[in-house]
Amino acid sequence: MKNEEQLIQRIHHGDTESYRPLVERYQTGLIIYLENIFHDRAAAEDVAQESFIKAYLNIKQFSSARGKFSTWLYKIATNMARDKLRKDKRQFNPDDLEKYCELVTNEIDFIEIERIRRAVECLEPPILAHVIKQYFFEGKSYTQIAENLTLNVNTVASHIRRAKAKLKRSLE
Amino acid sequence: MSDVLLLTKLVIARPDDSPVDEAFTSRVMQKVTSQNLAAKLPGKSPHRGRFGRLSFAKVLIIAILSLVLLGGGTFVAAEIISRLYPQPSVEIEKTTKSPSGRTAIFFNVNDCKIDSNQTAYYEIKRGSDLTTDDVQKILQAQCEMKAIGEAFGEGLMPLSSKLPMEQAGVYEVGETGHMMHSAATVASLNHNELTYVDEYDEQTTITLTEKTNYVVDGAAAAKSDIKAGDVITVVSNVKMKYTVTLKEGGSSAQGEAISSTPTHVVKLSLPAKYYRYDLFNQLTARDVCNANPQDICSHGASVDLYLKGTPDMALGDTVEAREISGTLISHNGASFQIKSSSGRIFTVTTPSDIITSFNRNQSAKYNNATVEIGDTIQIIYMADRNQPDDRNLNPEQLIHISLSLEMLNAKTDPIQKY
Repeated sequence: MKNEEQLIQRIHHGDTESYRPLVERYQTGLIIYLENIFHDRAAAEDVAQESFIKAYLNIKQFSSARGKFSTWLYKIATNMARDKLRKDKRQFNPDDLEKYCELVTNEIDFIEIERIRRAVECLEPPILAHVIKQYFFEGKSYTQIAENLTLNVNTVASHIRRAKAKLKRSLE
Repeated sequence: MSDVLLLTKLVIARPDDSPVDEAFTSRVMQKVTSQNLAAKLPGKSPHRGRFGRLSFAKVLIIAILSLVLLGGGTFVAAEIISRLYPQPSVEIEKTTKSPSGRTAIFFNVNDCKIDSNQTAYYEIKRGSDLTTDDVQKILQAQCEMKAIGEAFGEGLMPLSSKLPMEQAGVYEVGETGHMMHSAATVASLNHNELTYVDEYDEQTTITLTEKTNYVVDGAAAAKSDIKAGDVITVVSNVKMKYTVTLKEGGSSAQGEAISSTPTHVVKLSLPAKYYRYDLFNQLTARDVCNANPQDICSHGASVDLYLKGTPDMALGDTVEAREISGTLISHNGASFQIKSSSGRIFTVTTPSDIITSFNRNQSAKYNNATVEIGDTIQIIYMADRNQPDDRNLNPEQLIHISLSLEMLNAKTDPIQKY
């Protein structure tokens, strides 16, 4: 993938196709981020799609000199999530959303990333590594994972819960 | 560490070469490339730039000429637009025998939601009497059902997936979502009721509303286009009430439908029997082995023979995880050999005699299955990226060794070796 600054310059000059690598790069993380807010995969995918479109429409306002594209994208998504929560009359704490957004856009160094990947690879039994990779790395929903692995959706949820507990312990 | 911090770390640790949801990308790109959005993009107004300096009369002449020139294509475009979901195509590329002696069929598939690759490879399970022609139709039927679900059921997210399954306690929650009935045959249809018979010969009557849509040959149709004897599927908007119970080691959800409104009645293209999921389950999907692209691996059911929690080698620039699958051709104490689908022979040395140990101590748990010459073995191991054809696997490299299993119809079938 070309570096983001080059891609964004190309988009500024009207090359719409340069937006595709950015959508591919950030879609999984953004959908998971929003799913964690809404607890609803379909709503998360809808808002993620709208966020990408809104970011594209306003991309002239974005400059790489002022920060990362991902930070800007997550802020747009957070604002849209807040609007949807209000519209759906769901209770939430706006400060929590801001803090969550800040956390998600933090930098993590390469060594830590390798440590996390290794911890995932070492999960026991290996089915836990499979479900974590499919959900967090490949962007699959619980339903898709259940279909891929011929499991019940509830079993997938249980595997992810167990895997997260084990990862927390091994990464602390 | 909080849940949010862990989630953040996992998202950031996602490898750049991970697969992406191409359908999601396409939806976004389709929107951003649409004329309306392109016109809204600041500094980019192609039509004004091209025609802005022309007089109204000249623009009108160009417009009329364009209509005349494009006339031939208009019908084609209209026909494409009228389809409400993609028509999948599944064609047999070749039929062969797998190394385990099963019928193996390679397909070229297009517009199929069950397989993102253009080439699919399936084996017919032992004990099944399906023919290759049956398999082609079964796959096409699965592709068609998936496309209908995506088009009219918003992907048919199961309602229970929206439940907060990780919260302790017993509670109830109401949710609305879509549900698709399996293929069925229309028994009768009148002005507001449709009765169909499903694969289990169960008869169901649904109440049609003014908002119910009818689809024939993938395009919008009228209720009068659906007749008794047609094979259909029904997509409904369903409101459910769930009771979620958390127990030691897992959770369960019991749901009951409070209301169900049919949104789409879709006429299917194949006879009803090809849509049966139990027939699809008589096939095993095979795929290219991870980091061993010349070989085919099975990702089906298996039982562990060896599992190492923490590998001795760390993944990195020089080390990668690979998988291989093959037929057991020799066994001597802590060493055995497998032959992969490409004919390569892998020699595996384990820390102890895992095969004899399984046969003595574990077999009783698995329908008395023992590991024998000719069985299918799956292996996950670490290897040096600079040695792409490493076929001598030592104990330090091994992560997981398992024996492939097969169940013909369902998870409740007796376990048998693949």
